[in-house]
Amino acid sequence: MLEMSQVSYQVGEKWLLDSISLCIQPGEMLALLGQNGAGKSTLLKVLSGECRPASGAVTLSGQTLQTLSTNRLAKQRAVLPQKSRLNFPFKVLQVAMMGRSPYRGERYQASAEVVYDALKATGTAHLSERVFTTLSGGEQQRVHLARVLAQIWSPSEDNQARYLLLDEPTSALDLIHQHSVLEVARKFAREAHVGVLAILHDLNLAAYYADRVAILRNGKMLCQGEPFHVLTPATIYQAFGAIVKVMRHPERERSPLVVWTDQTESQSIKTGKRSVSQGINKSA
Amino acid sequence: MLTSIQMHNSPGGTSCEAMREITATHRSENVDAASSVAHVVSSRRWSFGIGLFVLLVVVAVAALGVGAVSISPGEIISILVDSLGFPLAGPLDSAYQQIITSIRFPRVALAVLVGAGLAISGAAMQGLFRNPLADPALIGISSGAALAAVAVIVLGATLLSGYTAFWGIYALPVAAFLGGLVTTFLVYQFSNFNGRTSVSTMLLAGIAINALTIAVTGLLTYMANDEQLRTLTFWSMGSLGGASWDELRVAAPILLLSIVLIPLQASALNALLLGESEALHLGYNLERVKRGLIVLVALCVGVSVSFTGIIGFIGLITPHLLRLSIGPDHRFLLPFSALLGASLLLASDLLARTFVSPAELPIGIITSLVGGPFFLWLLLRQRRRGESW
Repeated sequence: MLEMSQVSYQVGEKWLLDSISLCIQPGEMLALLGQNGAGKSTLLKVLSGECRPASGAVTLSGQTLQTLSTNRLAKQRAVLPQKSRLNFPFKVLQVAMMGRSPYRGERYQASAEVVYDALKATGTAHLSERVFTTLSGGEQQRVHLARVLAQIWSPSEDNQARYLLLDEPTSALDLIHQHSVLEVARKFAREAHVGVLAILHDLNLAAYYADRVAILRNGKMLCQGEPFHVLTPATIYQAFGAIVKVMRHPERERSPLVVWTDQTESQSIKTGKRSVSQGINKSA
Repeated sequence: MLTSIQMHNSPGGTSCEAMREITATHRSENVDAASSVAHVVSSRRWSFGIGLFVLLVVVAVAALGVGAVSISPGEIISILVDSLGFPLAGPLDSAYQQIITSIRFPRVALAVLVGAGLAISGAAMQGLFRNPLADPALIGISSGAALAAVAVIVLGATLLSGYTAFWGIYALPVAAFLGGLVTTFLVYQFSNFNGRTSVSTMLLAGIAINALTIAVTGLLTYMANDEQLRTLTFWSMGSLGGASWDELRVAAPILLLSIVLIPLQASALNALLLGESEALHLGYNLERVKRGLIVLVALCVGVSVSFTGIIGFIGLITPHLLRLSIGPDHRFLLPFSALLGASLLLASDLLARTFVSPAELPIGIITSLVGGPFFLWLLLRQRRRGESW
């Protein structure tokens, strides 16, 4: 279990995270939602061990992250950052191969096999001989996904749990690839028994793919739970200041469908008596 | 849902098929393809490396043979083998022997080591800063090292007499090394903020530090006497003319150490090109890698500058030339840079001492005359391809 308990994180005077508790179980897919600046990426940085929390602790299978070596950590959790800038003309295969760097010294063959499988899984195998810098943004993002998948593709010797942290994995992708990437992530969670956390902006993508949803607001955890329970008009108004209708997905019982509505309409919101314009001002 | 995705997506990408093939049955084919591709690529790279080595040997033999007295390759080999303690049949010309072993060989060896050191340092800096424009000279390391060396030359007998007395013949190399280290550290600190390296800040900081060191060097030049002035000119333009066994004994171990140790960080540098967070997530101990590389580069450049003065462009151009043909993979780029840098500097030195023979041109003039236009060509090429740095 990858767990953060009562974690706070501060930059200057500002608390970016305020006593946040969250855990990811192997095999589940968790979507992290929230406004721009709500603290999602900061949470991911603390969860990955890149930033040390000011208070509270992040533990991986019961061990504090800071007590684990960077190499050991790299074999158990992979991180897809929001934006990677690579200016040097590597081949796609070489970029994906870098995902295997924690296993330096192991047999080459095993790594090549894994990397090819990861490239196929993300639909980028046909690009493997292309120069990375000449790919489109979406293709680059999928190659990076292949790289992080390859990093934790199979369990290390002692069969430790593995985790995949994705920061806006769908931001540069078209409709089809948004779905195929999240499908890959969910399949990876299920079949390889990996815990996946994905920061998403599209509520419907979260509703469709996530087992659980967590919503951040101003560095605090607003709520977390099954999409069906969490994605309600009330919480979405609280989190984003947006008025929406939530419907039932025509094909899926447990997946809510979030529909945008006319924001100027003066509606009464379940939780707040504030008018809509106030709500939007507050969020801005 | 899945079927519709496949329909939409069937012409080019195959992401959906690929998704289904996570548990593919054709694994062995993929693996064969992957490893054979990798095999072909790496064997091509290794033959390229052997080619570079042969080039270095050819240029080195030429450099040993060409000069006021020409010596044939056969004689050179006999003399070298003889001095290793395996006398070949037949008498050797003792004048030739003298020229090779005490004059040309130290010079060639120093050129090889300095060229290799500057080129490998340039490649490491470009990787560390994730920027193809980084170069020890461009961001001020060389001028920092030169400033320290100039300070020792001019003030060695007066203000810094305690220092020179303590270090003796090592006073110059140690000062140049410290000068290089301090400037590297300064530039690195300036360009790092919140764990991110800002490339433009780095170049601007380099320009500022360059200007500053040039100003102070100018001040010291103003204070220098005639004899010191001659020595100072040497620093600013570079020369391998002072090479001797004594210098080689000090320079060789330090330069060799850097040339051997820097390539050990090749895979970390590859990961660094993705970004600092990415390299961290891939399990590299970044702070150790960065500190290690900065010390090695400062060592290498500092020692090179202290014995040969400022030689520009070798560190910038060599890695670029190689990336054009073998790509950016540091596992090959670093050792190959050392080989090519050595050949380039040797060839430049050969030009420097034969072009206006019997006089000698400062080698820094040659490398800059060739390097400047090449650099402009690189910029134009980059612009034509629509890429930007």
